[in-house]
Amino acid sequence: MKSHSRTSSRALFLAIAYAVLSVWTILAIFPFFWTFLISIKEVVDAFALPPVWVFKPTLVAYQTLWIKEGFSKYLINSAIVTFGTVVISITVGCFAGYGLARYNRAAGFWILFAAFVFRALPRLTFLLPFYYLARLTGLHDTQILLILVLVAINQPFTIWMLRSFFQEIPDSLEESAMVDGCSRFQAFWYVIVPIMGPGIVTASIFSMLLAYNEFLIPLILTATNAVTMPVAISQFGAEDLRYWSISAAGAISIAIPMVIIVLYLQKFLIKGLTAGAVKG
Amino acid sequence: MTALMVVPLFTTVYLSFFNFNFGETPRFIGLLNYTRILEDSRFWSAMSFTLFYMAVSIPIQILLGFGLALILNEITALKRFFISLYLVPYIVTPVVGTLAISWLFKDRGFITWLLSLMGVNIQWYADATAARGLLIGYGIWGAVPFIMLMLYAGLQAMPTDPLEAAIVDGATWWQRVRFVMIPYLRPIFIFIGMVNIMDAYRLFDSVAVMTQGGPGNATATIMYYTYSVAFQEQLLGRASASIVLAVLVIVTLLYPFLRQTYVDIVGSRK
Repeated sequence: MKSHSRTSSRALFLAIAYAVLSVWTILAIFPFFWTFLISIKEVVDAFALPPVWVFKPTLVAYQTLWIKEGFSKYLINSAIVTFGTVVISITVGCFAGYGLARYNRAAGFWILFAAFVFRALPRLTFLLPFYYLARLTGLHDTQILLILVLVAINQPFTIWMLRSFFQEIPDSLEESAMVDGCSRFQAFWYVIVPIMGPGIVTASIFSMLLAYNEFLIPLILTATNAVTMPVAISQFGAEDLRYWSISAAGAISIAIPMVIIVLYLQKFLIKGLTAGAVKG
Repeated sequence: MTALMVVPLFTTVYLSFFNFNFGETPRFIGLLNYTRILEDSRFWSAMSFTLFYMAVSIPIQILLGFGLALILNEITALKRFFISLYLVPYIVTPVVGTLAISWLFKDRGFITWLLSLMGVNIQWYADATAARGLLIGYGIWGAVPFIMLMLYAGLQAMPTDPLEAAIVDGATWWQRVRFVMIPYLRPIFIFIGMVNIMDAYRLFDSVAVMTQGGPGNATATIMYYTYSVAFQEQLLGRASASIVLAVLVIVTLLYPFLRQTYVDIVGSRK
């Protein structure tokens, strides 16, 4: 009797659990689904009320976006900036993180502290002087400047995360490699870095998301040449109905590559989310 | 690398004492920028909206995120499916998420229309309260996935012994949550608290894309206000003073969290 009531209350719990999860799924996905619908509808249908559910999909908005509006330029800028930021911050982060992993825990706190200060202090704190200097030096509106600023903001965070992965690797590993005749660098490069593969992927995902998604930095530090996709899309005619379909096409175009890459690599992302916070 | 950050920080403080506009020679004016900012009602309204935004959205985000994490921790079927879908709002560029949400609430948007069918007519972008609510709602929507995943991963990593001991001792599910899980997750809660305070404080993207601070000045956050002073009014010195004040406020807010983290990491090693 008792076990019977327990099974039925378990069933009730599961029913409620799946209902709640499904509601949140709809909340999480519906806005993007709707944006996708806008992007493949004719303009007249896109904002018709009540909504048109049966329609002939069209790629006109995508065509206008990529060909007439030259969106590929912004994609190239975003790609260069993202790639540059990831490569530099991961390379620096591996060396610095490895070195610091062999220090005491107090060092850990101060890196974490720096990571927070750099990454979390209002961006404008750094951006106002950067903006002025960039205008003076002619670096304003270049991809290099964007990469430099993004790396600077992101670097302590990357070092901190990689450091916590390095810490999981026992010292004995490179010691035995060094006994076998490796130099310290060789031990690091041939023994430690390969084991670190998953950790490096994790840190790369976070750097990639930061660089690809950033809005305020390119908004201030670019004008025409180095504009990235998020800034470009925010500046399409917001009130003109004809532009909404194009904006929607742009929104979907920006979202798709990142969603595919990150969902494919999601186990690394989830690993990274816990690595730092629990251990420190 | 440090120089790349610390030098601009001091430059900002330095600039805040100058009358400094584009194309002009900077002129030292002492504290005048600060008095101008403190006399500006837009600064106060931006600061109070920012703090209100944080006070309302952060507790709801954490409660929802923790609730979903607890549920995900209990179920077995379809778990990966839900997690993948929940990741989407976290991965997608905030500007894109903002646009996606903002279309639903335009005057000709789907949700505005659904509500009007139920007799609720709201002009989301013309009414100050509605516009604020919309930004808060968007903030919650965007922040829950991260919180949920952090806490879920924490629950998964939790050792099973204390939970089993609690079950043997006859603890109810709620007692296990309250006395076993929450204490175990404390460092993660502190981390989430800090990250969310910082993220909410520098709210800019959704304001710039969705409401441009309007209607009137109702949804201008402290960052949006500073941005307009710097790039619309072109007053770099005054914007620097505004940023310095903003930094003082956030440092004060974060101080207890940082102290706690320091104690957890360094102090526990004794």
